[in-house]
Amino acid sequence: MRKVKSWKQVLAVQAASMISPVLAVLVSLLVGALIILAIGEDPVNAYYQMFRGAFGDVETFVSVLQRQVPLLLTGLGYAVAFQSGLIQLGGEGQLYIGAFAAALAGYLIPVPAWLHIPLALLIGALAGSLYSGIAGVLRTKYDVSEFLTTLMMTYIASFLTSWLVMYPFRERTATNPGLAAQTMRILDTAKLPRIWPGVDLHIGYLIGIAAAVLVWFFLFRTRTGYTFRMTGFNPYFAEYGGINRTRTIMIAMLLSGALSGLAGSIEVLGVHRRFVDQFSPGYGWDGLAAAILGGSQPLGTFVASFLFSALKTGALGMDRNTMVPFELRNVVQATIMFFVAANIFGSIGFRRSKRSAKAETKGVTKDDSSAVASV
Amino acid sequence: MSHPRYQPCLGGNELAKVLEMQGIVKGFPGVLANDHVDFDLEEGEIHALVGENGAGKSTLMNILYGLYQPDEGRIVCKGRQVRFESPLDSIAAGIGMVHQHFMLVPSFTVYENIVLGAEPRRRGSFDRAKAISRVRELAKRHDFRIDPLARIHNLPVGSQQRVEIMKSLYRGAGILILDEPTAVLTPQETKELFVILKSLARQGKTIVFITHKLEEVMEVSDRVTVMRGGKVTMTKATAQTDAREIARMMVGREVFLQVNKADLTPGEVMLEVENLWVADDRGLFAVKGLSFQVREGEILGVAGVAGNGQMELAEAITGLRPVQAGRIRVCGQDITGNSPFAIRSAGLAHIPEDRYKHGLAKTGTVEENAIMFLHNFSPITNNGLLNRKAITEHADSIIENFDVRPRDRKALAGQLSGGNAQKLIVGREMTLNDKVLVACQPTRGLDIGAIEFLHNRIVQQRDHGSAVLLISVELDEVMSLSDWILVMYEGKSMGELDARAAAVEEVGRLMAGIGKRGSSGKEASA
Amino acid sequence: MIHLLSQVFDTQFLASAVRMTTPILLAAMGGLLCSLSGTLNVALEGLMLMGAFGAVAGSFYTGSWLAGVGLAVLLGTLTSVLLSVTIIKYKANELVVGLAVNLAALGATTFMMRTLWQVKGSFIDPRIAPLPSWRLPLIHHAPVLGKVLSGHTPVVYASWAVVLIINYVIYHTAFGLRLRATGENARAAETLGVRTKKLQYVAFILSGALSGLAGAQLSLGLVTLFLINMTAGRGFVAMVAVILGQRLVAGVAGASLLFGLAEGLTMRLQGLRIPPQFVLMLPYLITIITMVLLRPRHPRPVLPEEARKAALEETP
Repeated sequence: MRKVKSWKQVLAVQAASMISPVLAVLVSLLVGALIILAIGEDPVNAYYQMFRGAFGDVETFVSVLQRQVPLLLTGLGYAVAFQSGLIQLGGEGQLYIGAFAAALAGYLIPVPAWLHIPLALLIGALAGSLYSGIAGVLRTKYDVSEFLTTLMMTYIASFLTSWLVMYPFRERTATNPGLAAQTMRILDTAKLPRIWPGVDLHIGYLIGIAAAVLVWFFLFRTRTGYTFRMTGFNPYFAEYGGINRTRTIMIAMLLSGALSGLAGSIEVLGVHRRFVDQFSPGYGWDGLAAAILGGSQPLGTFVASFLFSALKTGALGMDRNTMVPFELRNVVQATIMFFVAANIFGSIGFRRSKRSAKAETKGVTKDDSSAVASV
Repeated sequence: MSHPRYQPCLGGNELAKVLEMQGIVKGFPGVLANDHVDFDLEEGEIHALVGENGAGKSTLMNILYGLYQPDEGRIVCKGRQVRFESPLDSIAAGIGMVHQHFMLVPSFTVYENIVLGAEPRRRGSFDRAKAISRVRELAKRHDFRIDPLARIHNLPVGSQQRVEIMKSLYRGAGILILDEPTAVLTPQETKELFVILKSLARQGKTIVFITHKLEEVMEVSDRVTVMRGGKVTMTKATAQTDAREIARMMVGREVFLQVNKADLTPGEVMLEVENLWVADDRGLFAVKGLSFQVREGEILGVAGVAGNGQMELAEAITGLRPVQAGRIRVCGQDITGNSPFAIRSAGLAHIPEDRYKHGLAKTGTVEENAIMFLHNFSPITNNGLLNRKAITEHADSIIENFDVRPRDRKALAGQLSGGNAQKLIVGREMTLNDKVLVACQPTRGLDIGAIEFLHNRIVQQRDHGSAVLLISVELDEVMSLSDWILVMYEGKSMGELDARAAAVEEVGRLMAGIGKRGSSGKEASA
Repeated sequence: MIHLLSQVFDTQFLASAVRMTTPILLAAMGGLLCSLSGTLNVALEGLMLMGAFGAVAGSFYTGSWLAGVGLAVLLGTLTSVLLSVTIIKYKANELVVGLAVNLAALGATTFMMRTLWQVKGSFIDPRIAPLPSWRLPLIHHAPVLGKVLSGHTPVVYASWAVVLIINYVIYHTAFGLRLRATGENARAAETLGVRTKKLQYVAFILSGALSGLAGAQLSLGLVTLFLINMTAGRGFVAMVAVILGQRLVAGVAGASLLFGLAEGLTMRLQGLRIPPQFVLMLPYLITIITMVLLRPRHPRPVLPEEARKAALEETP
């Protein structure tokens, strides 16, 4: 008897936590429809074209999945950080650093394919990880908020990789006499193979799914994941319970950066086959939106990243077949994020818990005010 | 046009009673904080309001200051019934309050803090010169030695308090409520405060002085009202009573909560504190050379008025606050300066003072809260993986044995009532079966049923051979549970008493800092 | 080396630094107001972008730079009002919702660009009226000063006035006193009858207007076009200026000037075969280093004599 009841309760809790993001999506689509009306187009047709653009045939669906990978992986990186109570916003920068490292590993290390791919991915993830680790050290050793340092480091990463690819590592071959700012092409041994022959979807997608499952397993089934979540819930409780705060912050930052670094590596090894200056159309930011819509949960982030990727891919189709421009998807995505963040449709995970914890414990209020005071 | 409630209470009135509170009733879930309380104030008097924590003094004064609305009863000001819906109403009626935690802007100057919200202006801009001269004048009139241009964060606590008083005077307060004003002051500052209060009373101001310290009541007040358990037990002119009577009325003859506990022969020393020095958040010493021992099968109760270093003591022992000097040993192991993890591993469990700050993660489930610290060990985790079955069993056993409701291990801890949240914490810590238990304010804010339950559990823990350090500002609790009582006053021990032989009045005197002076902690524990 | 220095640090460089300072300075002043009131405005970047877009749109359709500036201020203000309602009324997480506004501004401006003008990337048109450059009387003919300080857009001069006005308002009016009290101890201010939420709304509205104005300088002053994401992180740089300036008006203005100089330097160094990326990185690197150096430190309590003696005795 009791078991059945708690099952129902679990379902009810799950359903309740879904209401807010689903409402946010629906209302944002409605806002999008109003905008389409305002520019004198037919919203039904525009959304139909958008749907077709994403799910109309195998090809478009495959590109939805392909685009989902970097969103999913950076989103998982944010999810790990947010679950641990860290405001890590540097996914875009870690993605660039990881991508660059993977590109170097991809063309500089001549090893067989079975070793080359994992090695390049590992190097890319490690690079992203070390890069976000800098912010972790600044936080744990010097008490400098990771929020601003990770943002600043995103710009630095963009400029740094830009310089690296324009000067020391620029491809200067007969086919590209130094015109395009890009590295050499990676060796064939480092290319991510396709999942099915003939379908243009590389195994990065499987890596993304595996990462989501592993992150879920890590957060909810392992001891260290438990310490992360408790630190995120209430750092004072974690300290009282004997959880080492420095260790938790460092590992969470490193893991978060590794996932974003992996996202960049997969883009290089699976799509571009080389590092191209400024190749990311804001994957790290779309991933942030996915993590926030997904309530910092791996499954939620997976669904949200799929949605945003479909929105993006579908918007391309809409752009081709109607007068509604592609950029509508930026508006809709930002509106979704805004509604979820603005807490207008009730409370779920991440935002609310932090706020109420802040408001209700004196110590945290102090922390909060000093954080505000420092900005 | 002005609504009656905005009329100042004072001025041109021949009535001696400037204010009356009649039949005030105020209930909170599970507690009747004020039970038909009558309280009145005469012009120009210093009226001491005394009582233990939870006696209802603060509730009564918060009603007077407009922070709470009474369920029943009325407030009569100058013969006219008034309603205070917010502090602004009571300020307008000439009532000022000096809170225990000062409401000051630290980086502002003295005069800025005083005039804030009622700034003198000249052609749209803030007239600093006038503000300064008004504050100077105010200070001169009341004989306050304070520099209007000093910044608050550079001032000692005593001066900050004077700024708080001046804030009320600047707004024309005729009635001043001071909530435990001496709790944060040094003896010298306390003396200076009394001089100020007496001089204010001579100028016709009425002062309500909330305190525990009977010595101060006798020294400064004209009248005294004693509260206990939400009721007024006595109102008398101070000259017609004495500290013994007040103490009796305050504590009550009988100890309410009687706990049955067997006589035990204590065993080995399990917790030992030696010449401990601990600083508070401001960097001032809150624990000054404290020493004591707790043995197996023994409860040492630390009694004292809040803010005498008990919190810092508990945090130092449990590793949450750095130790400046001295030694702490748990089960014979020196754990001074160790991490909370190491201290817990040495065999210490901790019921924290603030259950929502340290004790729980409100957004976590009961299950997740139940395994804190145990998550490091088998069977809760094996090879770094959480063991779901063991977690379920563990959470269910705490829910069962400690009667946590609702009986749902997936409920969020933040949804539990205060009593059930505390049972969860106590259950978790007691199930560790550690040799040392540090219990801070274990029953604060709980109803009688939960208090009894938890008291019995703490005694059981002792009977099973734990050494229990019980830190509480509830004198009843300390008296009824402890085998030995250590009274803390200003970070030092006022002495250790055998609980069976100790009289309430004696403990009360020591808590107020009167008594065996010179018996420093070292001698007491030796 | 001396040759290089003289090549870089001439009056032209200083004049361009003055121009580049303005957007950061205006946004930072808005950020400062929010920060003093105890809230955090992470959306300066997005508000500025809305302003930059509004300025070009207003100027393009009316042919008047004044209308451009007006629309810039209006768009910045409206967006900021939306943001402030979610933060103050709905108690949304100011970080997340601020970031959302940044992304929304990026999306909205690119969308409008496509819809209104059917262009991607950038919008240039001869009908966009740029901000005029005004000569300052007297100073214009002064030897070095004239070249550096005169001949700028009205928004540049307005930004100088804004700094003076904000300095006056914050330190010399009751409003400023209450605003600062709200940020430092809102409860204390409330018990004295200060309407703290109202002050926070005002701070957000002003910061929206100032960020909008900053955007106008960006799109009609420095250039005469609108470019996707043309703020390029200047909003975050402005947040950093608020920190570096330690929330003092003069300090924030100084920090903004520092970043303006860095940007002016960037422009000058680009012709000198120094990789611009390193120069562009400088503001961010400087920020991180300064945050580490200027972090608050807690004093250690000093043990009284008796405790120190006791401590010595027990050390083996």
